[in-house]
Amino acid sequence: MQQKEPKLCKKCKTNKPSIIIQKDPVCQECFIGYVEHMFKMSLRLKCNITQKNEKLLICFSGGQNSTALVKMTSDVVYSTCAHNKSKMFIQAHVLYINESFIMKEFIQEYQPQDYIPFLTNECKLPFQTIDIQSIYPDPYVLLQQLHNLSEFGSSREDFVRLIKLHIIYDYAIKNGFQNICFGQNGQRLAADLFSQLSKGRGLSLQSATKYNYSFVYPINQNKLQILHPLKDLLNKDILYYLRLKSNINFPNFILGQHLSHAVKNKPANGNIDHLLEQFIDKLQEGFPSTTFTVLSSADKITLKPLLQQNYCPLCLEIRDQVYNRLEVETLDNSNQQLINHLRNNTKYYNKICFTCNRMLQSARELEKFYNLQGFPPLIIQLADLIQ
Amino acid sequence: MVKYCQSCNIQKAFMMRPKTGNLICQNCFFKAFEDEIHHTIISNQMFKPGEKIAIAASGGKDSTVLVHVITLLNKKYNYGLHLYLLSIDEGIKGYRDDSLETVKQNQITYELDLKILSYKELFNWSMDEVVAQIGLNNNCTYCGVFRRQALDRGAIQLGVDKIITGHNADDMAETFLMNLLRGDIFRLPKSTAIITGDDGDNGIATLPRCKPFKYTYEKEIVMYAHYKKLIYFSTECTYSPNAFRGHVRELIKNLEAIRPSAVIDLIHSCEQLDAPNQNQKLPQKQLCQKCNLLSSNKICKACTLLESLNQGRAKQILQIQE
Repeated sequence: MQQKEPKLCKKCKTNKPSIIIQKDPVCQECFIGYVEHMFKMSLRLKCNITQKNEKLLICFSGGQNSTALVKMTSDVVYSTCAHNKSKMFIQAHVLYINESFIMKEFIQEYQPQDYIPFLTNECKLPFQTIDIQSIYPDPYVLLQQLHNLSEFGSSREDFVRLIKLHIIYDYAIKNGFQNICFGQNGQRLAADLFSQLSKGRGLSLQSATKYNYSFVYPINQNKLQILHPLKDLLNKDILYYLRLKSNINFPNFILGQHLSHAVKNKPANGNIDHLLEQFIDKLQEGFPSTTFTVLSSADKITLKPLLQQNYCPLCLEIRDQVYNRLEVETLDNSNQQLINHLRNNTKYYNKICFTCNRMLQSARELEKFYNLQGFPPLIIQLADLIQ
Repeated sequence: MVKYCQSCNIQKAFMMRPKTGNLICQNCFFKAFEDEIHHTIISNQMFKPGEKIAIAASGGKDSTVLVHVITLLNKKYNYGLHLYLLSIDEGIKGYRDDSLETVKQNQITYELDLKILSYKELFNWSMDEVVAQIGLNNNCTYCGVFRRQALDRGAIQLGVDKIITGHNADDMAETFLMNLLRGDIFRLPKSTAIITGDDGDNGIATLPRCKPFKYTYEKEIVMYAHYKKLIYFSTECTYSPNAFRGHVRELIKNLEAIRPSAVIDLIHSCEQLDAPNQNQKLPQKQLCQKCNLLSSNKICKACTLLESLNQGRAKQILQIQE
């Protein structure tokens, strides 16, 4: 009886395959080679990192994606890739924003992680740690603001993300970094996109998922490039890559953060981001082309021209247009008085975008938010500058 | 402790409004519900006085509430509209035959003319026969395409100017996400359009379809129907359980549970989108060579699907004869 030939890796045709990439079974070595190659091509061709000694700011959060991003960047800088040893002459610098101050307040079981051994010994890239509360004149105002925000709908998590973005952009401009790299893979970008759409941020359809998105910082009109070099990879690719690099001393990964105490009776514990991650992950399993269909559609979408291009001082996105009153209020008289009061009696209500308004709804001490009371001077400066 | 309505602060609250999560009394809820639909109609200049309007009525909660509210607003605000009921019988036993009895009841209650068209008389196929032929995969595609054409044909027969449907905010949000998931970038910007079919490209226009429930939540429609004691048919279609829309529907429900405004926020997101740019190849509108109705190809989708069904039936007859 003829014995069935064992299946071999589609690329090297020598080793036993261990993972499927785009319907092709590949072995571990070829998989590592594929990931490293994808990363380099993504940086060079899609993110346009072509100049010698180009500066790259790598945003590291302690999660799986940014950990993989830092490791891959280190490999291309020091030519320690497993396969193609060609070096990229870039100046990579890691920025880590330390959120322990917030985590200790909201997550009982939080254990601070030490990333220094990983960043210095394993990756050997220069890095900077900034405490998230350092941007505030009084750090306890940050905690107070988070407590005042609703624990539902990811309001607190969104607020933390905004603060982190301000820190990142400010650091990039002060230190001469035009290119800022984030570690989200394609699946995570698709989930983030859905999450932003669910919060009313339709304008992000064009920018949130791009390999390379140009953004003009309102102060000094500095041009920044937001890069997503891991866009072609999926969750399973990142997880498998990290597993195969098991000789590396990775820190414990931060799981999705949740800044609310007892939201047990809501789907995904009341967190919109987690809900959409679960949704995309489930669809991706049943329909493998989900992620790339969504990303490809987002690339082709055009947006309606806006009458004015003004920024929101909180999220630094362009303020979108409201086409019908019913998008922002109801006619049952329960919120019209409040909206009118805030519009007429606070300094910055008219400068806040639709989505940031949604984030602030149901918050306590709303007037303080809309007057930017206690906010970092950087954000107040931006708000005064923006029309 | 007694909780009062957050709108009037006078009456006791009888429910939490799904759209806002605020406490509201019955009178304030009915008033807000009707006022918001009236505002939707007026702010979008949906109708002109003297127009003839066909209300697509299935007997379900959306169309039953639509008939009730449009009749009420037409009288209250003097829209000057002539209203007709238009129903499509897909030929699904135990589902559509029962819901049509509800439509006939609405005809009597609101004293409106009713026209019923069936798939069998229009296409010579009922949905039961279609499903018997093709099974439960893609049956919703056939039904959706046939229903669209059946409504157009019924509206032409009635001589109306516009069709109004009971598509609500949840439906629109679902359609937006579904088009994004399927990569249908041509339909994406129109997913939440309140009036469709009135663009008249190449001199070819279809009857405009309007959606007065664009900003109305499905849960509020159910509550309105319940507390107004409106009679509607509430069974799900026999053939729908495997629809892809079910995944997205579940997501919308979960989003609403976390943040009630999420449905409107999705609609707001979609409103920022524009039609695909001129570099994208857009399908050209033309008239179908077989049925002379609007199509984006030489033969419209309905005629194409019919042809495949008829070929399948012809094969079966041949097999039986052999």
